[in-house]
This record gives sequence, structure tokens and C-alpha cells, in this order.
Amino acid sequence: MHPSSFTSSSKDIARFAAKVAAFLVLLVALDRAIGAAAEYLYFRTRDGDTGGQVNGLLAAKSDIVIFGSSRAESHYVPDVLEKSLGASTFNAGFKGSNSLYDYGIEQLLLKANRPRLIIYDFSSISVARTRSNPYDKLAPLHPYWRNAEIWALIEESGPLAPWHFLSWIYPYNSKFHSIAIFNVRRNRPGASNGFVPQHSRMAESPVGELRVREESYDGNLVAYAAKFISSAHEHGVKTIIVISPRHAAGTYPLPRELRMLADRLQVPVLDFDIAAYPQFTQAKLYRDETHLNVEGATVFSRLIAEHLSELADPRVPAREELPRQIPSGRT
Amino acid sequence: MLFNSIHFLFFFFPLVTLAYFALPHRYRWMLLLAASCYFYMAFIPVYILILGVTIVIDYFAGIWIEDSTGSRRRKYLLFSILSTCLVLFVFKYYDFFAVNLDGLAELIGWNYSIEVLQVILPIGLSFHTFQSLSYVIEVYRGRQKAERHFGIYSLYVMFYPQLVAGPIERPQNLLHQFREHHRFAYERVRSGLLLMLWGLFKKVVVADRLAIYVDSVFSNVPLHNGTTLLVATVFFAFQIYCDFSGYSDIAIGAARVMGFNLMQNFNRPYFSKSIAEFWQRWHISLSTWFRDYVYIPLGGNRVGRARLYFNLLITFTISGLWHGANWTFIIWGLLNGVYLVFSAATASLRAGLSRRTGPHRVLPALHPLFKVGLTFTLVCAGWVFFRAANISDALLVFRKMAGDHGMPFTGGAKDLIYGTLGIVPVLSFDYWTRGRRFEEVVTERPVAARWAVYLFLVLGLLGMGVFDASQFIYFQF
Repeated sequence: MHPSSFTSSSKDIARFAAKVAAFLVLLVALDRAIGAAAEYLYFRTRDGDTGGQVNGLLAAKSDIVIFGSSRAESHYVPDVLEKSLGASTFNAGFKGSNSLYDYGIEQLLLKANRPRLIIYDFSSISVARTRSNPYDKLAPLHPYWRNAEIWALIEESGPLAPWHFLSWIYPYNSKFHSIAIFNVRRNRPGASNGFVPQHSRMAESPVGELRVREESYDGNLVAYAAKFISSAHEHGVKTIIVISPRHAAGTYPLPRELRMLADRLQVPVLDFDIAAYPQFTQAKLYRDETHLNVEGATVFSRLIAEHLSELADPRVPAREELPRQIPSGRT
Repeated sequence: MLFNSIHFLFFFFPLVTLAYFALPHRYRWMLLLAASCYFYMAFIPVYILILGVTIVIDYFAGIWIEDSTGSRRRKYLLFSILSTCLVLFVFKYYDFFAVNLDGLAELIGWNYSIEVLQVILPIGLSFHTFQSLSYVIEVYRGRQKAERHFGIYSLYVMFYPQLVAGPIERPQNLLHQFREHHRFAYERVRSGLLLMLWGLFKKVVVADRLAIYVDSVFSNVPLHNGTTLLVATVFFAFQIYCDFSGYSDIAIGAARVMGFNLMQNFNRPYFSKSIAEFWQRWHISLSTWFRDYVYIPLGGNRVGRARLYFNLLITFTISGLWHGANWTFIIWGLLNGVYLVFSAATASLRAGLSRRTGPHRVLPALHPLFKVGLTFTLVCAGWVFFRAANISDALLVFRKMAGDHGMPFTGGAKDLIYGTLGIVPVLSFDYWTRGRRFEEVVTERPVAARWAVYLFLVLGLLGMGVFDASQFIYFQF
């Protein structure tokens, strides 16, 4: 190599290294500043569509907490349960979530406050095998990455996943609009204790047939659903599993592992199959085939409350006293 | 390995680049070849053997063609083309033809059944095949000397930045660069890194965000109304643009950092004023490949009208088939061919009409805007076929767009917000740069403006990117 070209290249390398170092310093400073501001503002919110409701749940210290995906989010009206049972209720259902998310948020809840009853609304989507990485569903819990249980889940999601958290902005990725909105507005329109009423009605249509097979379930997600139940049991929190109604004949098959666990821990399983509850064949109660609208949710919440209020002390139902609509071994 | 993975960005790329500049020039090809093999084997390791077969065939075919005279040259060329295409056919098209032949046999009552192979398509095989073909064809045409160094030839078809999704390089542009000594040059490295950053922004912030909305709509077409499908189609137009041009920018940038110049693959395609112009600006390395090796050998435009139309239709139909073994891709290609035939057939009529009505005089500012809008609309109509799972879904999309309108689906409100926010800088930069390269325009700015752009891109990635390391759309081809 020509000596002058070597010198020129070395100068370029030194210049490049200096610029990269300066850029990194500036980048880290900005990342820290924006990340710290986002953290402060995020934890002031109590509702939102990107996980802000987790803050609301932890602050509420409710007696009854409902977990699950969009079906849980749409089907349980906390105000109805509260009025009927005299027990504070929070709906922690979250659209598109899976059992990893449920387990993560449950761990946060159990650390902050122990509810008296957990209602786990089981839906196939919570444990379904998907093409995408199921750990991506943990994104709403990323602001809580310093929590040991959440960090363990992040580490599980891939060997390089923890690298993302070198950035302080990253935990608030795609949450900025929500942070801005819910620092100004307290709740989503009409929302109360995590429940967002859905007013639309599906068109009249014949009852379809549910086609979900247990083989389509992801083993790891089923294991996390089981961990969710056993973790509540270990913390002395009573739990019931509910399969809420949908506009279709048939029911979601409860995974074998979950069935056996429910049997062993005597966790009641309530299946609101429309064959046993014909009132839920009415299309006017639904916003689509899978989700109840606010009218349907109110009817359903009253029904759940009736089951619980049959007990002597609705706030602390004894497991053996809870109605068992179906043998827990049934699929 | 994916360009948008931590594995690539934090480990592979920096380590390979550092080692490249640290090594003496005579060892660099070995490093790049080994790194390229590792890069490819990160997908399905055993599939590197398939590339190995075509590399050996085309390496020797190139030498035999150069060393032969008369009809033997043509025979070696045909042998090379047929064997390279056979590999592509087996892995990409065999099942498609088997299923369609089976269906045809059933239709005419012929009891005939062909087994399907159901093998996974080796990633980027179509790109690899076309780059190999361009080498043997150029050697045959005498425009390129056969490469005698097996390692350098292997590197030409395996060079990791453009191995799995192009740009599809010509040997005249790339081969000689492996013999040149590239020094570390500050301006060039900065320019390459900036281009990579811009490509990453387009992929992770825009394309992957739009993909969430587009996928949820196109996977359930019957459930959505025409307005939603219209929004999803426009989003798909930007998704595929940002996905593929993002990939190309990262590829070109990564190569440039090490001193290699790859050809430009996109040039503001959605600012085209006609379909012909669009195809000069979209996936340029593939369009020029089809122009040089299919369209011109068929006679190009130096033929009669009927033959010209035939050439256009056949070239674009093959281009559609290249994209995928599915009728949706074939119809997409054919539709673009029909656009061009219509454009050629009505050129004088439209010019006369334009002279008489003079829209360019009445509304001089709006006339080009109208042309851009019309071209974009026609391109989007094609994208419906490109994106739909099957033809019946595509036709349903058009039926719903024609009449079934209402409030658009806002299930992923966050994806709508960030997707739309992401499109704005992409379109703005495309408009602002006016045909010049993004990195050229940025590096001409004062230091404060330059650094503001760098920080905007990096902080945008951290704050709005989708970090699920999803594949690039064109990997499937």
C-alpha cells in the first residue's frame, strides 16, 4: 500500500471514530432525556390503548379482577359486578393479548395488591399458535421492565431481546400518542375501570359453528395459562375460569393441561355455551360474532354476578360453593 | 439473516466491516465469501448447496462459452440457462404447474395425478438465478470476460448485501470491484451508513407498521368494507415501497461502506407521471434485466405494432411469474402489460386530445398532479392482485371498493397513526430530493441539519419502529 494512502485512511478512521463517539454521546443523552420524560408521563396515565390501563389496574386495588383478551375487555361491566356484589371490580382484559401478557400483568398485580377473586376469561386466541413471536404481545408491559418477573419474560423472548432496553425510549415505543392523550384525558370515551362500552350491533345472522381445535394451541402459551392459574392459587387468590358466550354453536376447548390443573386446584370452570344459555343466541347482544356489545355485556355481567351472589359471601367465594356449569373435564 | 435484526446490525455488519478493512486486500474476498455463506446459512443452512450447484454450473459454463467458437458457444449457453432455470423451476414453480395441470386434467375428465413436492423455496433463489443468468449471457455476448477465479465468481453471486433480494447486478458493474482495493474513506462510509439508516427507517418504522394494518385487512377481506380495503390498498402501496426500497438502501449502503457501488433500485416511483415511467423507477435492476434479456431479444420496440404489444405483454407476464408461482402475480404482471399496451396504442390519440383541450394550459399546476394521481391509482389496482391471497379475494376487493363503503376499520388505531406518520417523511424526502440520492442531499446540509436528520431517524426507530424482525416482502421471491 502507498504510505500516503495509508495515512489518509488512518486520518479518516480517526475522524470517523471521533464523530461516532460524539454522535453516540448526543444520542444517549437525548435517549435518556426523552425516555425519562416518557417514563414520568406514562406512569401518570391511568388508561389507554397501549397499556396505560395497567397503571389503572395497579392503582385501583380492586377486589375482583378480570383477565383475558378482547372478549374479556368487552364482556364484563365492572359497574354491574360492583353494584351486585358490593366488591370493587376492574376489567384488565386487553385486546389481542395472550397468556404471556396475562401472566405478566398478574405478576405485577400480585406484587402490588392481592385481589380476592380473579376471573380468567379463557379464549382460544390467548393460547393460539401464531406465525408471529408470541412474546411481542408483552409490549404493553415493557414500561415495567425493571420488575423481575417481566424481565424474566423479556429474557425468555430471545437472547438479543434485552439489548433493546439499553434504550430508555424503547419501553415507550409506539406509546407516545397514548401518553399524550391520557395525560390530558383520564379515560377512553365511556370507559370505567378498564371496560370500554361497544355500542355497535352485528347484523341479524344465523348462529354459526365454532371451529377451534386444541391442536391449534401453542404449548408454551398453554403452559403460561396454567402458570397464571397456579400462581393465583399460590398467592391464595380464588380463581374461576369463564368461557364467555359467543354467537356460535360450540365452545372453546379448554386445553388438557389447563383442565387437569383446574381439577387439581378445584378451580371452577363456567362455560356459557349458548346451548345452555339460549338468551345469547340473540344477535342484538353482539357487536360481531365473537364479542358482546354493551347491551350483551350488561346481560352477561348480571348473569355472572348472579352466580357469585348465590354464595354466602360474594366477596370471598369458596371454590367448592361456586356453580359448576359443566364438569371441568369437558372439552 | 435479516438486515433489520440485532444480529445483523450489532454483530455481523460491524464485525465483517472491521475485519474487511483490517485484512490485507488479497484475503478480503475470502472474508466476504465466508461472511456471505454465513449470512445465507442463517436461514436454512442446507440450501447453500443449491446455490453451490448453480455456481459450479455457471462458473464452468462461462469459461466454456468463452473458450468455444461457433455453435458450441450457443450450446453451452443453453445448457447453463436450462440447468439454472431447472433449479428455479423445481423449487419455485413445480408445485404450481403440478396443481394446475392436475386441475386441468380433472376438468377434461382425464384421470391423471401429479405429486407435489411441497419444498420450501430457498430464500432469494430468483434473484440469485437472474444474477447468474446475466453473467453467462454477458459472457456469451462478449461484453464480459469469463471469470477464471472460482472464489471471485462465487462472491459475485453470493455477495451478502445483495444476495437475497438484489439489486440484481450485471457482471460488468460488480465483478471488477472485487479486485479493486478499497480504502476506508470517511465520506463514503458516512454516506453508506446514512443510506442504511434511511433504509432501516423505511422498513422498521413505515413498512412493518403498515403491514400490521394491511395484513389484518387482507387476511379477512369478506369482513371489511370498501373504504377499509381502499385504505389498506394504499397502505400496501407504501408498505411494499418502503419494505423493498428500504432493503435496497440497506444493501447499497452496506456495500458502499466497504467501497462497493451497487446500482440504484428505486427512484421516487410514486411521483411517476405514467406507467412506463413508473417501471423506469421501480425495481430498476429487475426492470432493466427484463428489458435487456427478454424484451429486447424479442424485438423490443423496433417491430410492428402487434409484435410490440405482444412483446410488452409477454415480458410483463413473465415478470409477474418471476414474482411468485401464483395466478395473482401472473395477473398483476399481465395487468401492467395491458396498461403499457393501452398507453402505446392511445399515445397519439391522447396527445391530440391534450393539444385540443389543453389541460396543461388551463391548469398547468394540476395537470402533472393529475397524471401522478392517475398513475398511482393504476399501480394500486395492480397491487390488489399482488397482495390478495387469491383471485377471488382480489375481485371481492374491487367489488367492495365499487360500492360497499362506510367507516374504515380502526382496530389498530396505533398502527394507523404511526403508519401515516411514517409515510409523511418518506414522501417528503422523495419530493425534496427530486431524483437525487437521499444521502447526497443530506450530506450537503450544514452539520446541525445533518445531525438533526441522523437523530430524527435513530430516535424515530427507537420510538416508533416495529421490532419483531419481520421478513422483507421480496425475500419470498
